[in-house]
Amino acid sequence: MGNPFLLKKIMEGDIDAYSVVYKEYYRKLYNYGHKFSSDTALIEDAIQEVFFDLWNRKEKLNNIESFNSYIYSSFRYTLMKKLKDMKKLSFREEPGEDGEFEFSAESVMIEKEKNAEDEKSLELAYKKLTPRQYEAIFLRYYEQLSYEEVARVLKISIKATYKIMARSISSLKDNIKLLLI
Amino acid sequence: MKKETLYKKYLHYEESDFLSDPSFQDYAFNPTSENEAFWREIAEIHPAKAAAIGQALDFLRTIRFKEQQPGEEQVNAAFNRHIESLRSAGLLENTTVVSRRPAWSFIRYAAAALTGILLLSGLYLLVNKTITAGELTVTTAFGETRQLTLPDGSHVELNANSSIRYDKNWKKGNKREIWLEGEALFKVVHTNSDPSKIKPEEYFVVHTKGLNVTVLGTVFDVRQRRKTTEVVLQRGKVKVSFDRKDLEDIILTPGKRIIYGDQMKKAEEDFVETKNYTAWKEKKLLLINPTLKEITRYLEDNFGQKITVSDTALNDKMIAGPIPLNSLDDALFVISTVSGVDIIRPDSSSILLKRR
Repeated sequence: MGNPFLLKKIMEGDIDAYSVVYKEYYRKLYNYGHKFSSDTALIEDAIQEVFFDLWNRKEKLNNIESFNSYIYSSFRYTLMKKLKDMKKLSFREEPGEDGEFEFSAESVMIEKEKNAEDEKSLELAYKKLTPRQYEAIFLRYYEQLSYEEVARVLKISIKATYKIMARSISSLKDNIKLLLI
Repeated sequence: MKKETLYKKYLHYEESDFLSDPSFQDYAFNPTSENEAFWREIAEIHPAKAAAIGQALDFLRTIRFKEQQPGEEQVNAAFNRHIESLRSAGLLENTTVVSRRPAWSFIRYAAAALTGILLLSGLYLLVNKTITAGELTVTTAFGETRQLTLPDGSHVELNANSSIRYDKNWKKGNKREIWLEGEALFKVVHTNSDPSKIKPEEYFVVHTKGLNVTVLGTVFDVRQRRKTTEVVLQRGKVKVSFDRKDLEDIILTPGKRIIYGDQMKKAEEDFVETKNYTAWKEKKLLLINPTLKEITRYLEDNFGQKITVSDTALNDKMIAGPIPLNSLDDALFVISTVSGVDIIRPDSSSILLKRR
């Protein structure tokens, strides 16, 4: 977060400062959450839980190393848990092989003129990237988290994060190289 | 790392190596004047790698993510529900929140009415456009930004209280012309394969008050507000020409800014941090050593409220750090905290900042 003084204000219980931060992250997490599920109500529940917890422990905010990775990883954890609970009740969304819900490849777009046939092939090319690879790209470049923060959110080492980023981009490129010529 | 070894590092790089290089990825997704200069130099030292660098760059910049954004009302409602739940859990006293409520909800009503009017005028233009050949005008309301893709595939981010006009039936082989009032960030695509030989009919021209910007394939921000126009170039190359015949054309290079106004003898050129001119699309305001006056002017232009400062000495006070632009309330709150002023709303269209 860009404004450390806002964090300090929140620790003091300032509701206006809290509102600024809440609204900024509500927008970000709403967008991030929709990459895993289309269930807006569920996503909002997860956001509310994260912030409920944050307010409840606000006095300890200065012990947090990175506000970004704290918010993103607790949101991710909460949302996953909710999606899994939901799965027990219905069959609406399918988790991936490791039982985790996945970052949707449909949310990735490639800006290039293309006809319907190319679009089909592009879609196939996208599917060769793993959801985790997409998620890493999204967090690093779209949400502008640092490599360290991405590593914490995905619960992997920093070295592995670098590896995922490198591999995902070159494999995506290899897969669609033929189409773009 | 020493410069020589750093350059040697890229000697055997191929396109796929650039693609997977973290610092190259950084440059592609978050360009700054520094990393732009660095990679430009690498391309100059290794001319054989220039094509690979260009291709890798083009590729990385085609990756986009779909956005799902909640509306302002939805965010406010969610926050209110959250506050209610904290209260019923006994984590919040009743008195803390109510203090500012009356004034805050008032401004929201005013803003809603304003959007209604602008929406209507936009609709009028939309109907009108079918009569005047393929011309299309896109207008943003106060506090609203929009992303557009032009018929040639170029990308425009339109800032609040701005409008652009263009030919929506544009065909390849024609000159691309855009008329702008307000502020927009342009990401222009090449219509030919060789950017070093652009023919006049392949030009992309932005017309704005007092000057025209001719683009040679690139990313740049045009900020035309009140009496001055600023052009800031992020990547590529543009030519700025003026309506006044006695002023010579200026070729802009990345990181440079041109400022020109009615009252000025000639345009001024300087170097700026280009990030400050693209921050608005992330809903943040960054100005260079901004004074309170510059910030309030920007907010006036983008949110359409008259902002007065009670004590003129306050106007020159510098405010550092990014200011959120998601809503006027949030921006004013940050200003009031940082610079120690109270926010007073005498009526629905004006705001007074008073020293505490």
